[in-house]
Amino acid sequence: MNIVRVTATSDVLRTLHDIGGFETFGGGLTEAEGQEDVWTSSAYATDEAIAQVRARGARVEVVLDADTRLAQLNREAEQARARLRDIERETEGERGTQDEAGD
Amino acid sequence: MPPPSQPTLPADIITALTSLSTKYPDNCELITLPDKSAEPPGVDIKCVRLHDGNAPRDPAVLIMGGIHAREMAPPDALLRLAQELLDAYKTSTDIVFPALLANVNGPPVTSVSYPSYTFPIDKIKKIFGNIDLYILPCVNPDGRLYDITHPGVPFGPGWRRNRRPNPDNPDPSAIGTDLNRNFDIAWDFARFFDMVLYRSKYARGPSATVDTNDTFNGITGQNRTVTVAGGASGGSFILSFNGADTTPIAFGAPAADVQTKLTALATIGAGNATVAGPDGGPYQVTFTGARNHPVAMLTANYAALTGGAGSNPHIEIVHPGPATEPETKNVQWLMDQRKIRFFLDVHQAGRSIMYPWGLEDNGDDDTMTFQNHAWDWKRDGLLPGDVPAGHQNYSEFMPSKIPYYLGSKLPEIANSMATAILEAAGADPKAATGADPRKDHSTYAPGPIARYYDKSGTGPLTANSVDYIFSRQFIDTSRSPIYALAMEVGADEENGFHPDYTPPNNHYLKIEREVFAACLEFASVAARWCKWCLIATAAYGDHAHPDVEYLRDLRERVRRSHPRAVAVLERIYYSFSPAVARFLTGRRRWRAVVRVAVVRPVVVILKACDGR
Repeated sequence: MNIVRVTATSDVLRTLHDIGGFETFGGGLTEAEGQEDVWTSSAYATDEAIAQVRARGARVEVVLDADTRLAQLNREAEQARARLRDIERETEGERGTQDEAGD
Repeated sequence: MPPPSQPTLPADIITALTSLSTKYPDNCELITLPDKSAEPPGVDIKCVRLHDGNAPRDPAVLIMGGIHAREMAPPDALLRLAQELLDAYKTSTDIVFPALLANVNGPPVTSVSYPSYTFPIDKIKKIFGNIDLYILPCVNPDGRLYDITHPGVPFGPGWRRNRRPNPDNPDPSAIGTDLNRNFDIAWDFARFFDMVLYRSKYARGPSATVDTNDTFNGITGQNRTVTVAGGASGGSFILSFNGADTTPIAFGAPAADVQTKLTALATIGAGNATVAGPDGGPYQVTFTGARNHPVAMLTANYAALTGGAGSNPHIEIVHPGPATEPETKNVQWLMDQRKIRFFLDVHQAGRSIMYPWGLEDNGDDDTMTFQNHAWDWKRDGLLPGDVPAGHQNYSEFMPSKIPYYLGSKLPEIANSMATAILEAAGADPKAATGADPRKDHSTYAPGPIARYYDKSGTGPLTANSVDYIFSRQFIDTSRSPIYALAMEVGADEENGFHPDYTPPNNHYLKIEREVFAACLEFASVAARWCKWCLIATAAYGDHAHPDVEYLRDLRERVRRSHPRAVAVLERIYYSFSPAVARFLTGRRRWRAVVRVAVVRPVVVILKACDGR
């Protein structure tokens, strides 16, 4: 999913939740300067969802594209799995030491 | 201990907390919370108590993070906070953040330079000297591990809930509970709100929030009680489940008819719900099959029910209880067992600092409270201007008067935290937008939680941690005051829930500095306010009056030389002073009498003896 900023009136923003692959987040809702009842919200959105959001009259700005985001998450997941393997080895090592002590 | 270069695994967080308690046994108590996490076999969830060598005391401060699994930075930052505080206290040194260059997303991506930032040792000593600081870095370890190791899961922007298994449903997205909708405060929102009124604005609404993937408030095998109430005598109503509506159910319908219409819904299915009870209800609805998980809120549209003159026909639906999850129970246990008076729940993302209420907008009518069941099925969940004609607006009572000034103190705390973050960023707080990038990208917005439900239409945040902790003082008034806040750290500019920990982005390092600044300010406020002189404060109507400040200062000086005597005296004083302070509330003449005849003479005499 991409991270996007969506700008629209509150009436339009309220209608966006039924779009699959679209989810606003946090308290990142700010009033657009100089425009009455126009708000900007941060959101996660798939490419398809972005098209639907735009079709409803909202402005969409991509803050972080899905590929860049996924590359970071994949890198971190790989590091995490490596660390998990280390923890497993450490735990087995400790068990082995305890078993030997028990013997 | 250097900052992490990637999100820390839950097991490593536990190891690090254990190491701290071993390294600093005089100042760090390791606490294993009573419930293991929800995913079998369950892992231990631990927190630390930072203290000054004392037994657990009142007041206590709890700062926690990681209740939402995918919010990566808070657990790391809170673990680091515990480490840095203990290191600094034991070595009597400042906490120093080196200068930092970090990127923020645009478009275009911008590099921002932050100067070195120091948190001085004298403030750290005041924190240790005045409060117990509980740090619970990772409330939801199962969810965090899953999120870290499952990038790009097809459930949206990451895993949010815990990992309670669902033996009834093979859909991998149909497991877990949103822990921050599971606390024992206004949990049963189908009872709490007038759902027809509520849905007049929030089509998605809290029920939909529960129905979809956001929230799962229950466990397998639960049931609902549906009662036709308010003098209804005809017409029909509609039940809704997972966003699907039944065909109209006639007033007085037999249970079999209700069951037929419910099981006809695609969201339930044949054989997946039974309905028992007399014709016309109350109906006992039990979900039995694959659709039983996640257990959704059953709601009703009763606009077509009719009744006689003066009647208020409606449907009352009672759901099962809150706090079903072990992770939620752990937080509630800490609240019950330790005298938590200051609470901060660190979330991500959105650069905001929030205070109660989340369940409704704030008001000053003391009859409008979550405890007043006369308002059940009548609250609107709307902001005052949005309530339709003919309905009385409901706003949750926020006490703003003596002795505790909650309504003004909560924004005061939030503002001071926001200011501390700007100071830590080296920003010019008076700079115009666009003139100082440090200000532009480190400005946190304070405000009540409920304000977030309005424009985006997601509905009030019922059953959240902050409301729960805050509400305890109204249930047990001997525990007042309690200050509870939440903050959303970082923003879309720092990759949302998953900040980059590595250069050149350095999102995490920027967020960590903001968490430190906010949490240390929060703890410092607690250390300053923790044990004010309640009666003097009530008499003067100002906790910062010079006489009140003097009494507080005197007590702290005496405490250093005679800690045991002060502890005994405090125990006696706090056994009756909250009641006296409450008595003085709203009694202007009594306050004047106490001020003139008691407090002022005592201060004059003490100052004379004190040589001041």
